[in-house]
Amino acid sequence: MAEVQLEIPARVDYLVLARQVVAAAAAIEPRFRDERIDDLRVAVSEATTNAIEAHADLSSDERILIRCNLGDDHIEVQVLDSAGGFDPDEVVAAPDAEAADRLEWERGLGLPLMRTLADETDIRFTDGGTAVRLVVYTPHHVRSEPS
Amino acid sequence: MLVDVQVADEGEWTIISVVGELDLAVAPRIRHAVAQTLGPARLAAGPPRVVLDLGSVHFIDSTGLGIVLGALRRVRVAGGVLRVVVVEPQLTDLFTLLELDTIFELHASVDAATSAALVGDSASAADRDPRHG
Repeated sequence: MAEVQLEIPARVDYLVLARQVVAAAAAIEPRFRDERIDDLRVAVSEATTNAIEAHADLSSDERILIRCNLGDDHIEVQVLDSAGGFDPDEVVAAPDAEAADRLEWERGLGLPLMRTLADETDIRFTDGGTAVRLVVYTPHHVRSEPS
Repeated sequence: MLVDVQVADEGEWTIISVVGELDLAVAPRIRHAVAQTLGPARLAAGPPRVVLDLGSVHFIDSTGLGIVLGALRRVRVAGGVLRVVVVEPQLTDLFTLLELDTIFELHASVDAATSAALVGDSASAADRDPRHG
């Protein structure tokens, strides 16, 4: 398994770089279709945006670690910050598209997007921060079913 | 990464054109452009008619989509119409995935957006471009 790591300041100027590095790492595996790499770019953008905003809320300029593990049949991306952490279950999701107050919600799409676009999404507390794990599989991967 | 946001008048329409990737970094510039479009001088000319041209945007995330939602809300509050141009499949797919294509009028070009009928403008996406139908 090959690993690529990127450490960036928790600043919005580095958001594009995070996406570019992850997309370039995924593109090393020729079996990933462009559409899946696009999905991963969006998911990584969501996780990194959350980390940058969390640091901004704390007036903290610490760094965000983005770790890509390239497996035989998948790519796993971890986005690690030290901004205090949050409980994803407490995040209020945006209402459905047809809801009368839908336009009042400019936020609340990030977590659902991550969960929809990645094959696996795991968000957990770490020591003083949040660790987001995103996994995208190659097209011919056969997932093992839980027994 | 080249990012550009321009505001231009085209007849009775105001065109906000965005080039680049629409994310947290670009969000303040889009908000500023929308605010500029909804300023007193422009509103004095009548309800705003706005096209948000994302035809040269090749990436958008939830922050970018939120900005577009906010723009639509602000334009509707001002009694106006906002239409969105999207070309990249990645963008179209995200609008569809989040069912935002039921909220926005999506068009394939600025010409298509400005020439579509105004009937039902602020209420539905019924007259949107067939390409996105």
